[in-house]
Amino acid sequence: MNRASISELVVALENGVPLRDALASALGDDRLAVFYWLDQRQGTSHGGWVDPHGHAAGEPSASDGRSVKLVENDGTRIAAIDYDAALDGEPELLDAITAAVGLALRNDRLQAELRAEVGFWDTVTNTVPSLLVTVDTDGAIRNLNAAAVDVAGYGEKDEIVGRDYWDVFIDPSERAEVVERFASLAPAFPAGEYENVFVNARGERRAVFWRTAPVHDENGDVIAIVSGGADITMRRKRERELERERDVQTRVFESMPSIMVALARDGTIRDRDVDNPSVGANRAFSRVVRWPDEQLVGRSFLDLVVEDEDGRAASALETAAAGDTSDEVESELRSADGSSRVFVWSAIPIADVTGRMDRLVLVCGADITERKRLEVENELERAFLNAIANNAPSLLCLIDADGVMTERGANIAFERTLEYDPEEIGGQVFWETFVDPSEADNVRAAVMGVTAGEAPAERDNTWMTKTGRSLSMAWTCTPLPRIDERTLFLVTALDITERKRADDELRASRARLVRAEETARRGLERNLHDGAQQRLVALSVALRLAESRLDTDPGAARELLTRAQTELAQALEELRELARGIHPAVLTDRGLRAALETLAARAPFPVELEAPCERLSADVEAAAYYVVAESLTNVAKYSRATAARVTVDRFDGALVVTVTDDGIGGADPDQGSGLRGLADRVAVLEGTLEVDSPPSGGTTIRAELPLLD
Amino acid sequence: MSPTALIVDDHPSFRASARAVLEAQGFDVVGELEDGASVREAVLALDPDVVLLDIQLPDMSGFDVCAELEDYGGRTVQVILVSSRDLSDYGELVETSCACGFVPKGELSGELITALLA
Repeated sequence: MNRASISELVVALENGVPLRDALASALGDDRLAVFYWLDQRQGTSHGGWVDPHGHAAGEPSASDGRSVKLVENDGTRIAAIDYDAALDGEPELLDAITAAVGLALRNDRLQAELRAEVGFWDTVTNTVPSLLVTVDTDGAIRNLNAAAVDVAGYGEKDEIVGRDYWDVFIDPSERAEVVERFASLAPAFPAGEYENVFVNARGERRAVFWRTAPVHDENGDVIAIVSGGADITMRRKRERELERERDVQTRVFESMPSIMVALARDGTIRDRDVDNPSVGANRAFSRVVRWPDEQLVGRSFLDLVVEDEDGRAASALETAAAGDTSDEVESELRSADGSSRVFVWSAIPIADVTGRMDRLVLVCGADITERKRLEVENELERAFLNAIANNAPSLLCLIDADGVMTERGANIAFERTLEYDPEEIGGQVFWETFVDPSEADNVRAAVMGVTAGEAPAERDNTWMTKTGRSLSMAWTCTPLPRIDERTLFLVTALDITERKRADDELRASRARLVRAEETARRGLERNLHDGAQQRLVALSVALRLAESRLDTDPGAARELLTRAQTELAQALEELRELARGIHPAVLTDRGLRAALETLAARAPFPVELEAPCERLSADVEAAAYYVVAESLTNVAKYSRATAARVTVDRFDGALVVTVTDDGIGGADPDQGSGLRGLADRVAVLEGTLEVDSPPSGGTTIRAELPLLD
Repeated sequence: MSPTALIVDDHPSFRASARAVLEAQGFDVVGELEDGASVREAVLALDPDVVLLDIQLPDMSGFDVCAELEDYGGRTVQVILVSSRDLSDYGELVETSCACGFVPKGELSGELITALLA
């Protein structure tokens, strides 16, 4: 390499040709490689080597077939030349190259280019190629790389070279200002940085970040200005997007009904951002806690939590501070006015949009105070309804539309009456399990009718207990309001078995009373007909006969009259007897005790009588009288007793009448109408009749007649 | 020869009265019966001219007995129905029967019987 070659190299470098290219061109081969020393690499605090491609590299050293020569300037290393060891035989050439490199590198222009190429791009972006433009001191573009051509919106470098750079890279609205500034920088053209936005030749909007540095000649005069640029259009776009996103996020943040509050990682409540001392919480949070912002910013969030005994709130914040979303926590938050509300919240790690910290914790939650109150109310209401259902005498159960009993869907009355354990009920088909098989189809049809929308109606059916007892039930099936997805039906039933039995008994008793009455009337008619009437008939005939004989045969007439007198006396006695049978006059006139004394006196066996003298209601006196009369008649007819005892006593609001004999016993109240009729008569007064008549002997009839005072 | 009579009634006191009345009227009382079942047989055996027949017999109704007597061997027996009840109690039964008359028991007299048989 001769001097001319070196000059060419320098010119090439001045013309903006990268050093390596310039050298390669000067030497005509690639046996040389230049490593650059950068005092301070972008983004780091120390210097370092970069390889010819701009990548960080270790200190170049001699190796097999290669030699290294350091390039220094004023005692400071600026580069190293890595060359083919074959060149070691040409020290002059190496010196020349070293000098050329030193000369070039002394040039700030190259420093700037290097920085633009390796340092800046390392950090800003690796995806966008750097732009390089060289302009002369008049602002005319002398050279530019392909990336710059592309950003300018052209296809070929030739279309741009020679034009003023502000015509290519500066928006028309800023051109005048840029031209003026450019002129003001002359002649030193100090290094600087600026950013500008322009619409390029293809109509695309471009944002470029520029660094400029002057290029000096050997005399130190500025001969050109080199600009390294970065197309930051994408970055700007992304920034705008982020800004918009932040705006949107802020709006969402503010308008959310959930509470949101940003905490620093230490759990203290953050401010909004560096310029805004108000609390970093949304409106919902402020509305709920009602603390003034100045009392919240910097305060520990846990300070607002009422009791965190199990430490769940604290641990949720720690979880988020460590980078994970916490579990949900339920806590009460204290308001400024001393009240508190219940929240369910979780802590989430988020990035700090204000860029001051690498991570924040966002507490995000919902006010569930009202929900809790309703839950408590519902619980109370449910307990109340359960209490009603379980204490109701009616049978209650819930079935679905297929008649299947729900789990635990029956009340205590249902379980007890039908003799099932609670766990045996769920899942049973109502009419298959609890209804008499002969009526299951009817019941099924009735329930299906209701599930299909028919109006509920009360029905009487026979149900079955677990042990097979039949129960008469009055029941209805009613649809309930929908709960979750299911429509349920409430079956309510009343056990009317006892009522029905009592009804039947009452009906039978009434019929017996009517029959007994009828029998008594017939008996009375027969007695009158056969007794007194016959005697009176005979009397009538006799008197008529006597009358006809009176003149012809006075003796016979007298005899007839005498017979008539006897007949009449007997007729009267029979009528009296009959009247006593219908209702003893002594009972009406002198009361129960006197009437019973008469009965006792007429009995064909001794009767011991113990009865109060007081008068009672006519109904009770009559019933007691007939109990004793019928009993004594039975004793006389069947018992072969030698004596009887009659007691009448007040006991516990009732008149208790007993008739005891010492006969053979074995009286059966179901046989014969006498005792049955008595029982009916007593039942009319709501009384009871008991017959104790063992085969071993002795009979006691005991009647209890309530005394209604 | 005296006309003959048969008395059918379950009450002895009435039978006694009736016998006295009939005998006083000149009847020969040839028999007394207390139920309806044996009436036909007794009529065949005793051949009475008149049967004094109670309507309310313990075993059967006097009307049924009367119907049995309507046709027995070509002879005519005259039946007089008696009852302790009133004629109106029996509606048309007495009229449609083959009896020749009805006498309430209390009004029984020789004259009335004679009048009915005439």
